[in-house]
Amino acid sequence: MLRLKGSQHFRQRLVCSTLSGRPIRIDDIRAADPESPGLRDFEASFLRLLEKLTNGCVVEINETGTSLKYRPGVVVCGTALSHDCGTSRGIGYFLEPLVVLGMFGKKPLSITLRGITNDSVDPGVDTFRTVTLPLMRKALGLEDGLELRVVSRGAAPGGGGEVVLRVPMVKQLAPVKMEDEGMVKRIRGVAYSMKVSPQVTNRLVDGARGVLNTLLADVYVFTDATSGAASGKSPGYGITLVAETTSGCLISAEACHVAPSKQQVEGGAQQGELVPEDIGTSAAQLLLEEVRRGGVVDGSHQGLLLLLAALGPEEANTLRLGPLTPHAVRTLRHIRDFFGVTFSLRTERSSSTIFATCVGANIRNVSRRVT
Amino acid sequence: MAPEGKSHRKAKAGRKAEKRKAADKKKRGVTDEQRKQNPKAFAFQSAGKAKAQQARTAEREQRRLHAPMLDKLAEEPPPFVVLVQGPPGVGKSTLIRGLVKHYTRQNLADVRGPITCVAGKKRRITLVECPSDLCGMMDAAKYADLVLLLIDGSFGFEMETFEFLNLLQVHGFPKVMGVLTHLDGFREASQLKKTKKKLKQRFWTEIYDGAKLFYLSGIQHGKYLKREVLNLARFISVMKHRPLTWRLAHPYTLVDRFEDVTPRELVRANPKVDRDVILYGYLRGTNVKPDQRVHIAGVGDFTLQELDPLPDPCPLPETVKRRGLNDKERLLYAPMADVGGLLYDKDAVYIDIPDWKVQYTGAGGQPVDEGEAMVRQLQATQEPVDEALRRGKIRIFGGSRAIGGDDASSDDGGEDAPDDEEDEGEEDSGSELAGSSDEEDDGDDDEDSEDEEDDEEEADPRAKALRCGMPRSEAPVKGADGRMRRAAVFAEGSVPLQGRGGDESDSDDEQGADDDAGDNDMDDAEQQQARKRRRLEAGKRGSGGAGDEGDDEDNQDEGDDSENDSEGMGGAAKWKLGMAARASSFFSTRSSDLAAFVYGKRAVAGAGGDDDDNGDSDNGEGRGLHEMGGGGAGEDGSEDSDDDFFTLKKAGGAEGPGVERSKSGNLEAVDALDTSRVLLGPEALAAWSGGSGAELMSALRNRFVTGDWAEGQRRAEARPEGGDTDDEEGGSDQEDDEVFGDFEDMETGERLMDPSGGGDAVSAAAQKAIDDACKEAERLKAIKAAKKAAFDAAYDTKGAKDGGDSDGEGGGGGEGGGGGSGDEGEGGKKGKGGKPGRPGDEETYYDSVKKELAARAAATRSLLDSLDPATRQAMEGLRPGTYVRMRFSGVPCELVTHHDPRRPLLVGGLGQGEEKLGMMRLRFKRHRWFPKLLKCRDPLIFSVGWRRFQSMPVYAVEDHNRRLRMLKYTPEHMHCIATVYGPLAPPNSGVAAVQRLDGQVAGWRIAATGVVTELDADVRVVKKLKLVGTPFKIARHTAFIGGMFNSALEVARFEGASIRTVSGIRGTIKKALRPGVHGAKDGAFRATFEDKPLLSDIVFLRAWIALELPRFYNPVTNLLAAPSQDASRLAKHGKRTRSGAEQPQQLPADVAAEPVADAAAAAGAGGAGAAAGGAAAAASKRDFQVSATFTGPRPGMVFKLGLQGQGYYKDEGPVAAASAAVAARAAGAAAAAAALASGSTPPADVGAPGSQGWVGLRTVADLRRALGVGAPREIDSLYRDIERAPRKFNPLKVPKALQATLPFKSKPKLEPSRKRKTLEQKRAVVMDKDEKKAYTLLQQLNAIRNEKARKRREQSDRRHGQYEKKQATQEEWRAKFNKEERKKRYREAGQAEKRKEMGGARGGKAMKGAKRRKAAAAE
Repeated sequence: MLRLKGSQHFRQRLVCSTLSGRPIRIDDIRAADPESPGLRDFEASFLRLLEKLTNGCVVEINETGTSLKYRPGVVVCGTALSHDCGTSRGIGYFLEPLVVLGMFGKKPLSITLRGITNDSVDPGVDTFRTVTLPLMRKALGLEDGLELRVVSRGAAPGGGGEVVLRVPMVKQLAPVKMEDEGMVKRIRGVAYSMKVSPQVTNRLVDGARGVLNTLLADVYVFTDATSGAASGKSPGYGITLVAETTSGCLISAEACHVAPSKQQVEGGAQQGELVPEDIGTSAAQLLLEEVRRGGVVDGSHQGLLLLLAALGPEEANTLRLGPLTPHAVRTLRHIRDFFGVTFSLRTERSSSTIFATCVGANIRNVSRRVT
Repeated sequence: MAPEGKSHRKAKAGRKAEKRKAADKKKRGVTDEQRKQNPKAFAFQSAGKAKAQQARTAEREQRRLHAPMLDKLAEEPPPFVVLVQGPPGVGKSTLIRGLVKHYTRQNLADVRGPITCVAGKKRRITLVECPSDLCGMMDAAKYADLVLLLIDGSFGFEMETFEFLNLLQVHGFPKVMGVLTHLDGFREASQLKKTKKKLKQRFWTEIYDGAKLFYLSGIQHGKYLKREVLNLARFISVMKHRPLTWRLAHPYTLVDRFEDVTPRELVRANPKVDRDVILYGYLRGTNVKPDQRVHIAGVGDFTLQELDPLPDPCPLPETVKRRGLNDKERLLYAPMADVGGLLYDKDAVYIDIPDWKVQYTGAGGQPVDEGEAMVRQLQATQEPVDEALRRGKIRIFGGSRAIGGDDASSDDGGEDAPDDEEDEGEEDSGSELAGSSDEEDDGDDDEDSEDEEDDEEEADPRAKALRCGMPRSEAPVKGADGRMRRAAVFAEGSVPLQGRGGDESDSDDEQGADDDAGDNDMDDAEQQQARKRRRLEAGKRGSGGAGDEGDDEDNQDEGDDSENDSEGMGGAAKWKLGMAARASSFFSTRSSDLAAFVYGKRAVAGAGGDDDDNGDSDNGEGRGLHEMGGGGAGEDGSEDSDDDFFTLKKAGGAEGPGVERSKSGNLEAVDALDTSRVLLGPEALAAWSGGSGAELMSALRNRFVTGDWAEGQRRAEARPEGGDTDDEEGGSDQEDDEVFGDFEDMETGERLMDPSGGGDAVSAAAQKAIDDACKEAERLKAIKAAKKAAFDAAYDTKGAKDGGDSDGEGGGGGEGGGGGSGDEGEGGKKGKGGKPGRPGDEETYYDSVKKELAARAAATRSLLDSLDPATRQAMEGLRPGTYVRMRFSGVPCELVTHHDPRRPLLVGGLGQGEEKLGMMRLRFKRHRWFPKLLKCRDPLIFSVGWRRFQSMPVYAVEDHNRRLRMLKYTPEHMHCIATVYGPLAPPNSGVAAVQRLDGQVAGWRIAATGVVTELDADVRVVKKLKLVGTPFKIARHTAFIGGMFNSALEVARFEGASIRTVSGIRGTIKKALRPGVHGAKDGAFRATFEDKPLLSDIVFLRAWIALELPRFYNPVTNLLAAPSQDASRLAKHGKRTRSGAEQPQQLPADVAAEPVADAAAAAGAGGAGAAAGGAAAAASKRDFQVSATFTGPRPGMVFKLGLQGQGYYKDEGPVAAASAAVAARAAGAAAAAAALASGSTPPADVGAPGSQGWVGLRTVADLRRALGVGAPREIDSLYRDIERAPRKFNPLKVPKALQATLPFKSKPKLEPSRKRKTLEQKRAVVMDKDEKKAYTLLQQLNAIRNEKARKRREQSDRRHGQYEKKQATQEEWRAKFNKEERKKRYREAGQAEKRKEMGGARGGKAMKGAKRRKAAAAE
């Protein structure tokens, strides 16, 4: 029984516990928060999702919800599943653990998720579709079966988006070796809008291009202005940019319109009132920032890639990363705690990138049926 | 007359065949030159033949291939485990002794525990004797690399051999070699030959054709012949390692040394306290990491508390110069056996110093001078100094009380010390350490016992030799005898040699008589070695180190041991050997700030540097993130400001999302926002807009394809500085190097430069010596390579037999190198590729996969080699081949008290999720030699992975729709599916199951084998359920049916279910009826059918009901049980397993109690009707008592329905005990049943006699036997004769009104029978004369005609018969003729074929002749 503290990295802890088969206990979940201690609704929702996917897992939560005991079961997955993700967090919150868990299931996973597709906290579904899944295909050598289909979009407060995720099952992950970041050869992206004027998307694109075109001509941003049934319940817009390098690495950045909350509306327009051009510009600047930091992935995918490397076979897995994000650092710690995998982190001085190397934990898909 | 066997066939392969081929070639004058010059002449002449040949080659090639598996060969692999297995008394110990003598020239008195010795320049082996109990065999099958199956030639195969082979097969078949012993009993050579052949054939069918069977012809002076042992050793040395999937994926260790390090005080306070033990052994399989969970087979699951690498106690020779090994290099390491007078016990090391070898100042002669007298006096002191001091009194002042040592010391000190001693003395004598007072007695006893044992051991082979003519029936007795004997040794707790050595006081040691003197013929060198070790170990014990010091001392030991061997190095150099490396590893952490930051102190605490990391905890956020932002950015200041991106300046921002963000940024915040996205505020991006933005962009220019590609290339190729230089980053590194880089040897005043490459530099002299040696080796290697190349070139041009030989070369290279590096593997592959049958160069998929695997392995290897040792160990853990020391705490005390070196301990690492409990689905098959069917839910003992556990399987078959249907018994000759609750093992693991562990079974013991196919939390196994109802009211297609359910609610659950009548009419359940409507009872329902059912029909509802699978799992903790029968210990064990180490042992009361409850219920039900008939029958016949019903248990009897009818039969189960014993046991079992039923713990003292101590759940049959009851039978379930009353049909009545309306056609035309006869009946016919005449005539004519017809028929039958007979003879003759003809034709054709083959031109003529002849024959 592994004892952990706090609500941080909740999803990854459960995923690691499930994959390593070690039961965990998390204490002091938001115990310091006087207003609403304990688990939030999205975390409960994630636990329910986990129960849908696995067989025989045991979850015990205390009365205040500040501590949780989790005894993992067997990952089953399967098709025709669906889950309502609620509106507190985006679908991205649920997608990230799902792709990792789904690979180790008894059956291939096909699940419909409903909720917010794009918001300012979680990775949007566009990033997921255009960066995360290709990254996994590249790193693990998965040929097909990995797919995310956006049925409809849903913006922040109301949600109403729907995506379908399909993840194939694997025997074992392939070793990850990504050392060459390459040079950025093209930039693609998606500017989307829901329930607003289609013109907004063009304005987003203009903003982004204004920044990026000074460095690269090959910038093309698709526009996806949705309305009606495919646009969810709330208005919103945003942009996702992806820089593709000569070595096939994908670096992404995204920005979206944040709907002002009630207090902000009362207090007068402040920060949330960005015009679409500004959002496009900030997305572009974020992208440049990510490129500047270096590494084969952007900051938001460091954790995932590190996890995939740690789950791999007992061989050398090498990654080149930019400066580690807090998320990645915590991931490293969890990997060490759950799988006993320690990374050797060596800094390359001239480019100030980090070479992270590990010998994988050789996690196999044990729930698969053999004939 | 002997039956005609196969005719002799000439050998097609091997030496003889080659010779013959060569001779044939020579005769035909075919040389290889010719062949080369004119290859077409030697090509295939027939396309069909060529095709066949090609197909055959391809098939062989394919069969050769295995799924490519990466065999991670360590640089120095762990010793090869050679397991010596055989039934008791077959000569295992003798063989091990012979092999040890062969390898190390040392005599081994007692074979106990694993024995490691250096077998060659590059090979070490560990010899293990396989325990003969089933548990030991199961474990042995899991760790053996090579099995020597010893077979008694004079007796033949025994069950153990095949059982063990079966276990091996299940756990991934390692290499097996048979060894036939006891062959000296055969008088006639022919008999011997025949026996050998027979045994070989049987052995081959069991393993594979051509499996090696070695013959040990006999025994001389209690030893096998030297030459034969040498040959066997050669066979062992060429055995290859076979990679087994399970072992490649799991680390494991065969424990060869065992220490109990529990604080004495704790043990004294509570002898049953959980112990701390230290286990030593070579690491095998794969890498092991600290905190690894392991399973100790037969004990339980534990976490590695400490894991330290130790210097190899039995290292390979360092330099390979000579051809063979010299005597110093022939090391032997066997801590559990008494090698060289040294014996490691669990809590002490014993030294055996034979008296005649040591020159002590004896008590005999007069002291020569005063000095010697004084020394002798000192030696003869009765009490130690401290005791004397304590006894002495001092009076400080004249009138004061005399103060003794006792008064002066504190209270507890004064009292406890003697207490301690006493207690320890007691404890020790209990645990095989003799107290000082009864030292001599003990010693004597031990001597005696050992003498006896020795006698036995020595007499054993001779007895065996005499035994060869012994009848078969006696053998099992003898076998059992052997087992008992071994167990008896340790039940007494008097291990030889252990009583003899006092703990540390050497003076007592001298008293110990040397009983081994007679057979201990060590030569001088060995004596020296032994003495040296003794000295060292004595020193070690003297220092009284806790377990932790073992490391250092072993180090020293190692150093001293090899002191003499090293010539080039200075004498002082050895202890400094790893100094530089140690020191550098100590300081290496200074630079690894990033790792320290990420992993915290824990990651680097082992290396020692802890003072410089304080900053982390102080300003976790700021510093940490900064550092992390750019590990190497410290030096270039311009980057510095930009790296602050993660130090979120807006910590504690005003609005909601901002707060969350700062939370996510802070690494130490336990409730940080859980998102992977990098959340930066707009102000963080402000740098990109405005003037600084342009600057940044221009700096970023080269990251885009529009920039400088050379720059990009440089960036892509940039790698961090090599890992072997430890200081790789940080601006102050140079200074650090100044301060810490070099080390000064204070003794010699030399300054050590830390050379960048090696890492293990010593003094300059040593370094130079090493360098010289390296250079020399290089030079020799180069010369060798050049020579080889020259030879190869010459050979190739000659080109005699390119394929085969280069193959051998390549393979040999790959094998010998052992490095598994890419190029060598390729060499081996190319060798194979160069075979003549295969087109040389094209790379198959198989090859490419193999190549890729090898390349990956090589890359991993090179990468890890470039890291410094500390990092490397953190990353991959300890590698196989390391000698490790493992500490476990909380081990049940029984492991220590019942420790027996003859039961080797296996420590197996657990993989991901292998501790979880759940349902395993097995593909399972009863072994065809197992005498009985296996019953569903009867407990079986499974051996899966490292584990052995008892569980209750449920058998099932899978229907076409994937439904699992329960089976009551395993199918006869088919696989079935078994669902087993227990600790999960990954799919594809092999499973062996046995029903009972004790060796009292005459027959085959492996009940079933199988493989894990799937893991799940729960499995749905169903069985068929038929609900029966009857219609009570029938409308046209609708019927009201009752009796199927009990309530409307139940009906509601089944609405829409399909039902069926006996006559096959289908229908569905519609709705429940309200009770009372149409006379319906509760639970009646309305159903519709496709046709009108009858009231007499029975209606079925066929349903499937899911079974509740028993969640019972009981680990087999046989190592915690005493090896012998000891009631008190057993009882203790029963208590201990519960409170000991965490062993999930779930025994739901209902499950366990179920069979017992059944029996009890049966007993209760039948108890009332104690029939008088039973007693009467008992008087009449002893072993059968008639009884209509079960009337309670009767000792020695079983209630069943048999040949003599229903009643009590004499119990003739496997445990056929005397009736009194049965009665006693029955009473005990009844108590047990009661206890079980009430949900208490299962009593452990009801074990069957002869069990190994561990007691598991018993099968239902065992329980019934113990209770003396048969299977419970319900009277309703018994078959009775079917009595069917003749069916009476009521007459059809058509109402008169209806009849009136019916048309005539449909009217019933039944006329009532007449009472009076009709007129025609009444009337008599009287013929007149003519009529009569005519009538008579007709009659007569008819008679004549009939007679004629009869005759004609008879005649024709006769004729027909004759004709048939004739036809038959003709047919016979024709068949014969045809056969002859055919034969002739074939013969001719064959001859023609041969002729055609022989000569091309002459053939035509001959064929013509043949044709002519054939034509003639046809005519």
